[in-house]
Amino acid sequence: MRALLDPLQGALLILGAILSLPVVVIFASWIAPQTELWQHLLSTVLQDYVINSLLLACGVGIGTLLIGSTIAYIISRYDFPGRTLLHWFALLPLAMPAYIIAYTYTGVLDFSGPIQTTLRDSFGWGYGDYYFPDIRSLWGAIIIMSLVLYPYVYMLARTAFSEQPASLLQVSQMMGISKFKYITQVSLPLARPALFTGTALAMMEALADYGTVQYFGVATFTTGIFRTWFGLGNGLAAAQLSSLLCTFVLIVLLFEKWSRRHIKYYHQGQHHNLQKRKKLTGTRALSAFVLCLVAPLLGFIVPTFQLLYWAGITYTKNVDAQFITLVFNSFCLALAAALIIVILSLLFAYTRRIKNNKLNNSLGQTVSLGYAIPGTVIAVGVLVPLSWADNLVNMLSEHWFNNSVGLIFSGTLFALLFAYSIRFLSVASHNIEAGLSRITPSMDNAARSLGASPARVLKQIHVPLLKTSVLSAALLVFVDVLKELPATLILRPFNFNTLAVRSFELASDERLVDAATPALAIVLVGLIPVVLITHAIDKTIKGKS
Amino acid sequence: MLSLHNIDIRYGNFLAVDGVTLALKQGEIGCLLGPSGCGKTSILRALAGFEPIGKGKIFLRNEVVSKPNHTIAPEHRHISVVFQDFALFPHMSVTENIAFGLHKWKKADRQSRVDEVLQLVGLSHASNRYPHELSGGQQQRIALARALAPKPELLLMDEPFSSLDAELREELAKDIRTILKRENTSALVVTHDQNEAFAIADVIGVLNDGKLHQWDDAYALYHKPATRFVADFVGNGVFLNSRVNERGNLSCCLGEVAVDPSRLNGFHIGQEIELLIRPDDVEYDEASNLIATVVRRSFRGANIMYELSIPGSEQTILCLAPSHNDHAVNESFGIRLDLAHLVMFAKPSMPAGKVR
Amino acid sequence: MHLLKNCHLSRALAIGLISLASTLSFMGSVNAEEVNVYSARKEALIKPLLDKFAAETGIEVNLVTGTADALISRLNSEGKYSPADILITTDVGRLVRAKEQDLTQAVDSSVLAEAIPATLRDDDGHWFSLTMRARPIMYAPERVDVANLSSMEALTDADWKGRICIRSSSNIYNQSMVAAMLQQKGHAETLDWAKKFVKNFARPPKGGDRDQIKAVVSGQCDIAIANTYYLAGMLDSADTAEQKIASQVNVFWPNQGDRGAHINVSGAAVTKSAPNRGNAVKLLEYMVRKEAQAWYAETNHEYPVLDGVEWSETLTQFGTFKAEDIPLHRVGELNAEAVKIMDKAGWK
Repeated sequence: MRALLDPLQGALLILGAILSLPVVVIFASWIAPQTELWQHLLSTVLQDYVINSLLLACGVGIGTLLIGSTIAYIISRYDFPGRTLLHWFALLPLAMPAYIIAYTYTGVLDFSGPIQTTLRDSFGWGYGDYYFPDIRSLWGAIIIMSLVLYPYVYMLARTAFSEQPASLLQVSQMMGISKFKYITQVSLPLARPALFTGTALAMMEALADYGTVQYFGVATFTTGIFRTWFGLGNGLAAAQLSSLLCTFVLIVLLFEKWSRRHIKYYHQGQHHNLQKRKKLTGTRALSAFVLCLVAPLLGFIVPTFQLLYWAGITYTKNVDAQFITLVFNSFCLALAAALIIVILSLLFAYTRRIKNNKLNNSLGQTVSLGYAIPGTVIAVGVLVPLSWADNLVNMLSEHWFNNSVGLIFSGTLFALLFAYSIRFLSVASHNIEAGLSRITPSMDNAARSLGASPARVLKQIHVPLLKTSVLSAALLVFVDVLKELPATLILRPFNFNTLAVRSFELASDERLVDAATPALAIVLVGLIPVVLITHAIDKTIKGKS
Repeated sequence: MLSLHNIDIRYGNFLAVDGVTLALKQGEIGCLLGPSGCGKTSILRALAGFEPIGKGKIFLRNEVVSKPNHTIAPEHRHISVVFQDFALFPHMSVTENIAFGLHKWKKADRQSRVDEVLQLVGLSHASNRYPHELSGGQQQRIALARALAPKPELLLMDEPFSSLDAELREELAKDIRTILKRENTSALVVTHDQNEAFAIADVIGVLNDGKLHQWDDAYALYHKPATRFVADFVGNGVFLNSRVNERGNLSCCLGEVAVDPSRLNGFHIGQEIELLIRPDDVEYDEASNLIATVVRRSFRGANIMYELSIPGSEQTILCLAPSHNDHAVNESFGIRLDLAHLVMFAKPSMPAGKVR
Repeated sequence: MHLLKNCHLSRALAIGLISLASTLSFMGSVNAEEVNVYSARKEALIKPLLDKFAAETGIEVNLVTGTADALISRLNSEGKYSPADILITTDVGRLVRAKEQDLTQAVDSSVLAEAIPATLRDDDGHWFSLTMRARPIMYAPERVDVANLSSMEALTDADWKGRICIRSSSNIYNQSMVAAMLQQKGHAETLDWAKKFVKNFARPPKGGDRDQIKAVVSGQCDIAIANTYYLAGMLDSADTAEQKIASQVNVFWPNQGDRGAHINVSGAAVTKSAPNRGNAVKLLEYMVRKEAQAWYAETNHEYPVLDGVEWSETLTQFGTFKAEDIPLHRVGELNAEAVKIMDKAGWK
């Protein structure tokens, strides 16, 4: 009761409730159980959905963890020629939507693609004469997604490794502990909370993916949701399937929180003795270089060149005034979404800092659920309450002014921004809460007792110390929105198109060559923030060592 | 200068501070001493203005700064705080950190004040460094310099030495005392370590369970503890089971202790009481026929602290003897009781044992 | 202090949201002469035609594209204030679904009635076909003897084991194809067919129609089921490699002796809440005019519904054929049953 009286708490509750509406809508579908349909699903395809989704999520989890932590470890511990180049190469795949590299690799590696055709032509083989791994399979999907999602692990892992004090290594060396044992028993466990958070983000992205698995013909929960909704025409059962996915994600999230419960101890005290990077030469330098190059090469450079090649064939046809509008639309939309989402997560994070109670924690939990819900499902979850609000507004305005105002919520960019907020709030929150935790409450108090007003504390202590994490949050959201497809497709207003929609429409019409130009534009626009993120992370790490 | 009148601090239903009253004169260094959770930090936070009070009043220079439903904001109190974790701003250099509280000063004054306090804490050479480039002791001094720079009327320090090495603590405590006295700054320090308290403070308050047991100088706390808790918490000692005998004196395993009748107020003949015996109350005396046996010993340079058993008693006593009287465990020697300050308490319902 | 700060933040946020909402509401305001289109046809495959219509009539056309079901659920939740006038889909099933959900209205237009054969429009005038797509068999001539090809039903023969490529059952073209068979052959026979047909697959279904064609050419399978306009699109592709692949397959029209080859249609309906009903009808009528029909045929190689419109050269090259003749609305109604049959047959 007292919570309702506090204006800030009240505002936050309302905001949280609004942002949770779509999730509530999805769970509310259980009011009308679809027994017959569930029996059909249970006896036929549900088992496939569950197994494939679990394999995909776990596979991508392991893949991103391996790639991300390996590169992060090498980059933060060793010095070798090309290191500076590689450490920003490693983030490049962030700008690459999974469905686009799925298209390009299929073009390159499929049975009828250039590589297999060349093999057949040069050795005179026919179909079945040789073994070639099939890219369009569950394993293909795991590899493709690991290649573009590992930067989530890499970003967090790099910071974590860089913050580990040198004394730990020295102690281990004196005790005669081998390098390998040091990594597995000291370094990795210390970085575990960061690694786990990154992996959880990647797994949630994988669970929500539709474009890649659909194209590869892998039946997962997401494709199952679409199939149930579109093919079987049962929206309720589709929402029920989504709610199962939500529940699974909630469990993962809670597990992640639980595993981070000791994270505070890891950050206590300021280490003034950070590990120096070890210089590598000769073959060891070369192998470090190659190890760090493989993932960005496959996840970004190769597909970009393939896109460049295709775009080279078709750009005259595809680049016109309309195309410039597309770029502009995509850029502005991503920017607006990034701003709004960062403000929202700042609001949530600060409220939790002041009042760390159960209510605010579970509110944060619910709101961040959206990250794993497929965009289409969120879109529908958004449409239902927004249309309801629109109908109400129109009814009132017709009643009072004898004039309807149109769909001011569901028919405008508001709907899109609302959906993005739900989908990507947790991306921003992770970063901002991590940043905020570095500002100890006693810093606030010290500043206040030195005569600083709250405004001055905000300006001179919080803003400079939070700058990097807020920037990273904003840039991550920017890139994510730029790549976002299903929700954009459903919710965008009249005559409003984005690069992602354009490239998807062409690709899904199986015009890969034409799709290359907008796809390349997404990658290029997305590159700007990726370069900025790299720069920001560098500055944080330098500021500490 | 500073006075607290009967203040309460509550967190929900939990009464963290219960009716505390104390006063500090200009230039005096006070200290709140007590085990963790005793409420000392709550008082400090209330003084700084971070915490409202539920009852009573806090005066600073005869002005009410806190009373129920009225808390003057921290930035308007002219109080500085040195935090346990120092709370240096990691993105600012030492100079910038110190100048943070001087934003209303003229530029030239600001620079000279920064130089002045840096010199005061002996770190003039570190002015351009960043906090993470300093050692723990240096960070502590910078935190002090930053707090002193705006010439606060009162300096508060929250467990200022707890994150430092043991050998640094006392030395730094003395240094800080010198610095504070030179600046003539009133200060209130919170600690759980009595040696720190003795090293830095003019006047010490012992707190337990939100209550202030005694507000006095170190000598009085040690020799004239107001409550059994203070006697127990401050210094070493033993509560020896005794009884008020028919002559109005105390009888215990060390023999009969004469008591001035005026000290027997509130006690009656035949009452079981506890008599506080400090290690320095027991003297080495070869001539004495009271023979005690060594149970345990610890060498302390000039002295040796002996734990001794007395024939016919289950309790042991402590004795601080000069180092040249060296006895091994199980050896015996004569002792004499020289009780300069008689401290006794009515026996609590629970059986009393040896302390510290 | 936090409290104060957050008040600032939330106030800023509130002001931001209010101004955003007001800007957006201006953007969403209604123009005098316009028509609003929800289209499941991709932008590239409809916008040029709409632009021509706008230039000719002065009526502004507002377009949003998306998957048909998403557009239908958007119509559903928007209710009577929906700005949409026309819903365009690429299959008849979704038009029937929209009609069933009471989202469309009847249009009585002599122009439409004259241009579109009765079998290709709704009996109540709720929806109209605009183009037709055919889904024949495509084969590698050097590995398949045409004499062995006859009907879709014959593809269950053990001879075809490991030789057939077709895309996933999640795809609407396959769903419609099986639904059409359901209408003609009944549940038991269709389920039996699907089970045997799946056993002959060369690989688990994956990719789109073009991928099936590519798989035939590369030797992974010998025949593929695909829509003609994909093959035509490949033949016209800017990528010469694609052209080369497409030229290596032939089209075979199945079931010419009995029920005819499977066709599906793209079509449109006027929404129930259409605020610009008149303009909507004008646009529909425009889309069945000769130039428009010819544009479809030429640009996307779809078969026109209007008689007497010339086919594109590529389409002519595939030859003429006998199409199935079934009530189209049944295809929509049987869609869910078709999906369940494919689930049971293990058609991924």
